[in-house]
Amino acid sequence: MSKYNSYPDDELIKRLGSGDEKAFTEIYHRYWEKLLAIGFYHLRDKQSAEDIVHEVMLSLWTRKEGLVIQSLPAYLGTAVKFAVFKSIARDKRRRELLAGHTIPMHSEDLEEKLEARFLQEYMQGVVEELPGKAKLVFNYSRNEELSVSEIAQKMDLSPKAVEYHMTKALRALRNTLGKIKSFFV
Amino acid sequence: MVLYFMTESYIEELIQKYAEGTASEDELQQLTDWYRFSIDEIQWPSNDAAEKQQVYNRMLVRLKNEMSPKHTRIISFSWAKVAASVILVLGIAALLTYLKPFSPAYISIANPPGQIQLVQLPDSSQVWLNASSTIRYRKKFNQKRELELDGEAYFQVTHDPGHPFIVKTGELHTTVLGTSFNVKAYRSGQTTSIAVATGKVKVDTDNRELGVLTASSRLQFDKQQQTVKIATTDTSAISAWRKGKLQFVNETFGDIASVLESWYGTKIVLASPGISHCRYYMTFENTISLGKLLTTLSSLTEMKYTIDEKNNVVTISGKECR
Repeated sequence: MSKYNSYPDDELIKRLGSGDEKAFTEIYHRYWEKLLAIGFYHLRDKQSAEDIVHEVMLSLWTRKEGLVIQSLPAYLGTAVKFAVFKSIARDKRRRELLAGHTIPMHSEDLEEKLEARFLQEYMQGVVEELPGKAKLVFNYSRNEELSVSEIAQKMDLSPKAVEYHMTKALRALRNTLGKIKSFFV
Repeated sequence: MVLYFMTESYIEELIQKYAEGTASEDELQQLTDWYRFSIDEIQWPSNDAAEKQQVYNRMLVRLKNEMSPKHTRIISFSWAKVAASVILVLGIAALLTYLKPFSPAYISIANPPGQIQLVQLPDSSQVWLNASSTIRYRKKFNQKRELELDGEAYFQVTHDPGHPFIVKTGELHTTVLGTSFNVKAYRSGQTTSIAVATGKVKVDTDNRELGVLTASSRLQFDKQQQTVKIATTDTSAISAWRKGKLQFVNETFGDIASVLESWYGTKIVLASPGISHCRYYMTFENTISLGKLLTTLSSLTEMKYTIDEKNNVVTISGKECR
């Protein structure tokens, strides 16, 4: 019985980040069946369910260095949701191709758009982890589209300070993205 | 609350709107409701232990194949197509090229529980794979004939002094020139064991050489203690499994349980952990049912067992040893 059995999830996440394949295998061992069950529950097809698990676990491996995962069930849960959506979008496109329908331009990009949504939700998660002021500045700018001076007024900071926090936020996000060499698997 | 039946095409429509950001609050809620499930109630719909093991092995092998560093994939996405708000905020323009993955240079064979498989390697060497065992090797051997093993296999290696044959099992490497030998290295087992029928093999880890074995000798490596034991062994006992027997010669119950887990594809839990140190000599025909085997076992050893059919788990308790 290997000792990886006894490691808690965050120990496994840490080791996974440094490329530990045994940690990855243990994560697979812990979650494969649930992921398979979720895939099958929504797609009603055993092969598709297997493909879902494959996609989710493989992307976990390829993204391992850049990921900021708080909880494996939460991350895997989100990943499997998007994998299910993408699978449905893919099947739709395949059916339309077979039926000879002309594909409206936008539906070819559906998978990429779903990936973008995953990226968005994931990035939002990263934003949640930013230190207090940087997070506020970022959200004011992005969600409420306030200008630097408006934010400065709202937070009672100098414009220079606002720009400092904004840079901090952007740098954190850019670093996270930079480490993820293959985000779109 | 979903008050109407959601057709497949309606769900596809919702997903499309969701992706494009054109879904209304109501539609977003519908999609959430459709996707929602109760994590405790959700289950893989098969109680067939053999099938489960097969699926587990198959998916793991498929993953390992694509995780190998030989397959570096460069993925591309055009930033122009990604959600505009994300690009604006990040202010990054990046272009990577997406290349289709090339066909794998490795072959993986995952043998399920309850059967033995014979495999011929590119150099005509023969490998008998025991239950729940997986091997992985290059389609075309290079200078070294290398093979990874998780489980148990018996090798008959073609003699080729110019190209050493190496079996990798976890941290151990077993190097041979041309010979017949058995390697037992189940990931869940306490020990890895290499026994030679004919010829000579060398066993080492990355740091040190553990031993050179000649005919009728066996090396046992305790993975936890990191200790090595070399002893002479009965040649026929070396791979009795190939002849359809579950044979244990002074094996610890921990290792016996491992073998049974692999053969039957069932999880075995030792409720009294100390029984894993007890050693036994016993032989069964591999066609015996697990229930009958357990009954025989308990009548001979004072062990008690329970079978949980729903979750496919056998629990064994008994007097502890050492």
